[in-house]
Amino acid sequence: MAKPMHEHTWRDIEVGSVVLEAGNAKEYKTGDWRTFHPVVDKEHCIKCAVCWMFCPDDAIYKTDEGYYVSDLEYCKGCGICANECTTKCITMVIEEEE
Amino acid sequence: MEKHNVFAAAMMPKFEGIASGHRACQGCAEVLAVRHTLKATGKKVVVANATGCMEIISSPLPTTSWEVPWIHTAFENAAAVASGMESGLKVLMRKGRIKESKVKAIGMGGDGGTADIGLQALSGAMERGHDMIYVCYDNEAYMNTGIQRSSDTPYGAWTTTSPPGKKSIGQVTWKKNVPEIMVAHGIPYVATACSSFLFDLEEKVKKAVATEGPSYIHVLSVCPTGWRIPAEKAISYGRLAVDTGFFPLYEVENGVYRMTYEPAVKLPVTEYLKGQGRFRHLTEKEISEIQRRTDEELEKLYLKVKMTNPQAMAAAAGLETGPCTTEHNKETCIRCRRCVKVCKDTVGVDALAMGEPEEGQKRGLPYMKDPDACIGCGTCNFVCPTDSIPMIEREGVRSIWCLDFPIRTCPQCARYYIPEKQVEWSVEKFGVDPKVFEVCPDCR
Amino acid sequence: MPERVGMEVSLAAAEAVKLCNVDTVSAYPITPQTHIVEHLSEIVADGELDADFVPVESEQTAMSVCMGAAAVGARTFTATAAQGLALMSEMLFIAANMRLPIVMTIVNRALSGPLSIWNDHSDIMAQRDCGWIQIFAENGQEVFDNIICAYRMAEDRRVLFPAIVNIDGFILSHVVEPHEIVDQETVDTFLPPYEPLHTMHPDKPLTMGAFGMPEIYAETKKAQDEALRDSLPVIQEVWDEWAKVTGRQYKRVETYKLDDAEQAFITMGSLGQTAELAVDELRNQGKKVGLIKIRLWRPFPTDDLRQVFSGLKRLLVVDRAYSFGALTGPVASEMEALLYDVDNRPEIFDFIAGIGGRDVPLGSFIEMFDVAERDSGTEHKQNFYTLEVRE
Repeated sequence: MAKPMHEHTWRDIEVGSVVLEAGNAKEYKTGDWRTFHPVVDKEHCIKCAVCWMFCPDDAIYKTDEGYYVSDLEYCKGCGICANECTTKCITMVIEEEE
Repeated sequence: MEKHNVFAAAMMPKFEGIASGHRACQGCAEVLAVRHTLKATGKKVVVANATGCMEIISSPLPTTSWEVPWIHTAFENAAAVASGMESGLKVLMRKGRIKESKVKAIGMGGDGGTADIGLQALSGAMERGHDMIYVCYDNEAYMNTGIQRSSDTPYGAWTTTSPPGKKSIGQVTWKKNVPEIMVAHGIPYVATACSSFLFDLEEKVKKAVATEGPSYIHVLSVCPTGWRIPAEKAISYGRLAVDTGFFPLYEVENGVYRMTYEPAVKLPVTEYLKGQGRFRHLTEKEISEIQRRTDEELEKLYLKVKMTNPQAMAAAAGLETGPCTTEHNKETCIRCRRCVKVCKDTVGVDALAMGEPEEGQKRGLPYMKDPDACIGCGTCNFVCPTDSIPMIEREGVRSIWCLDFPIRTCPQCARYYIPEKQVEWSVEKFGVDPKVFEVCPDCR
Repeated sequence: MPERVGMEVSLAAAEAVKLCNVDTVSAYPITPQTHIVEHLSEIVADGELDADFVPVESEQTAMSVCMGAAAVGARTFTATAAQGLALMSEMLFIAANMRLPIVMTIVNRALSGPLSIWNDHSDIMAQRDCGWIQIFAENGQEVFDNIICAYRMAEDRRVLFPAIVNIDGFILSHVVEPHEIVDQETVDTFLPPYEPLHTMHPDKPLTMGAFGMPEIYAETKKAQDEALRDSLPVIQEVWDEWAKVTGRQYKRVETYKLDDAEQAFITMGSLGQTAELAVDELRNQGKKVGLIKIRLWRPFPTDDLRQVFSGLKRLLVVDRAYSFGALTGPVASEMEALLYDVDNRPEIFDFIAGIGGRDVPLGSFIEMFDVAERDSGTEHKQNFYTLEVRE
């Protein structure tokens, strides 16, 4: 995991400002961007993976049962999955105030 | 939906070349295209990216979203850096300094970084013949810097530097056709793609990876933020761009054009333009100009498809062509005469006949005696017990007995079902109501 | 006794590149660099050098291709001049920050406008701050030697900076001089294959060229600056080792007849050869004159220069470029800054000369000396002199 930007001293900078750890931007959770989140009606889900295919953020994962659900840490709530779902079983639901 | 089994999505490669946590806008179809490009290439790549959306959303020091080797240097030189990586890897492998393996160099840039400031570097790299792929992710403006126009911004579109006003309609020039420029460089593989058609995109990327030499893929990347559409409609609008003929999907392999997708029903451009905030200001006159020009460009493309078909090219050059692909197969024919009989007695067209037997043979071979009479119904192909009468259907044409018949596509199930000539014949000869043929028998 | 061969300096430069067994050469033609890249392309075409010669479509691309190749661990070379250097300017800064050890020869030529193909230092002076190691060569042998040394310096893990070797255009690049062409075995021993610290390869994916938010950018630039300064001792170390191998010793700052001198010229590049003759001539006239030659321009050899100035009363800087609207030419301004805090610092005279290929013969140096004597300590002294320009 990378040290936060503002904690780097000049000596911490890798030669050539190279980032050695591939994909370490995963630390940044984009889940708090959204207003709506997708909810899957498992009754009608046919596990076709079309939602997974169309997610720009790779924020849909396959559960042990084979359903595809959104990863709320990263889901930005764009609604593409709901729009593309083969059986229209995904609804975008407004985030509740906690 | 593309004509794929809907469950095929679950069989797509699992590799993720760009990790979650990137800062792309909600509904960004460009990063989706990048995600699938890397699924199709797999891990064995080195990527050079131009300055732009994909670079900024993915690489804030000291972090990166990239799971593949990735380098960014400047705006105009993605193709140049990619060609440098290709050169370095080639020589190092040749000298045995690194182990020999297939690592493909990929250059990635937006429409600005490709068609404008990057055109020189792209042209040079393609001309020099480096074994690399260049992918242009075209969101039709300089989106990263705030939606300024590029040469790939479509005619009439609002951008911050081509705003419509009292003295302007918006973008006043037609979209620069970069794929055509690439074809003119004579490179082995050029294709257009769109992130609403992900199977098509992945297949094209795979083809590019397998191509030895330069390939170019131009990907229409819907940008909800810049196009002023709701985020969830990103995929729908990509589909509309293709289904209206605005952005046709095709590939050019060694100069031969081929459509890779044809909409079952071609929609008018208004279906695409309406609902996009960037086109909201357009008048009827401007929209009809867009329709006219879109149709014209599509016609030019179809003409190229026809003219670069190898047999057509040979014919145009006055060359002897090889056997056509639907020539009757003399080797497997058992001379049963069913084809001739069914054409004459059952269908009533009588276009086939048996030829004279050769020496040592009891019967001759069937041949097309009356090409003008043939209606392309395919019954002869259906009854042949040895499958010696090949029939091919593609790009709206059925070919049989070396004859081509334009064929209808069912507007409901999108399958080919009846040649136009057969419809005409049925109507003329038997007075069948043409309405019967509007939909295929299964959907009727 | 190693054999010396007479050949055009450009060709000797190409021979040096060949001996370094570079992997990728990418270059765009521009006078007066052309002979170097032409000869290199012949060498590659004949299989004498196993490299990829990439005939690029502009200098921007030439540098970009070198950067791509260096990023995957290849040893790279390019050459350019004036307008070409200006066109690749954007990439120079980036290559230095990305620590890609590319070696480039600049065949110094005047920057347009007006267009000129002839020699001066305006092209390299405009890139003073780009972050590359910058070395000046005075004659053909120095060109040959320093190309080889530049690779060794650039690729050293304690350095990892790209390096420029400056060759005065036409005056040096196109003349025939004697060169000792060091043999391949010697070069191979002196210069082992490049082992990159970081490299682009799927076996270990990493990211190069991430962008810097304000929270971190300043740290990256300080890191870069400190690293460039830290390379000063390593550069000398490489030259010292070359001296052991060939007997030719290079130093960051070199001097000629400076020991008891009261006045000294300062030159960079081929002018040093004429300046030595001028020093001899003036010494014959009883003047106590010496010469200071700056071989390493960047990183600036502060300590070396401070040491050579003691005892000097007057410095005559020869600048081969303007710095438009500035107090003096570029080299003089750095000398003035260097000596500001020094007790008993010498009086500095700045002569802008040799502009756009204008010859600077021995007589010009004598004239500079006389003018300095005349104006020293008077109110007639100018910030800089342009003696060669017809009034």
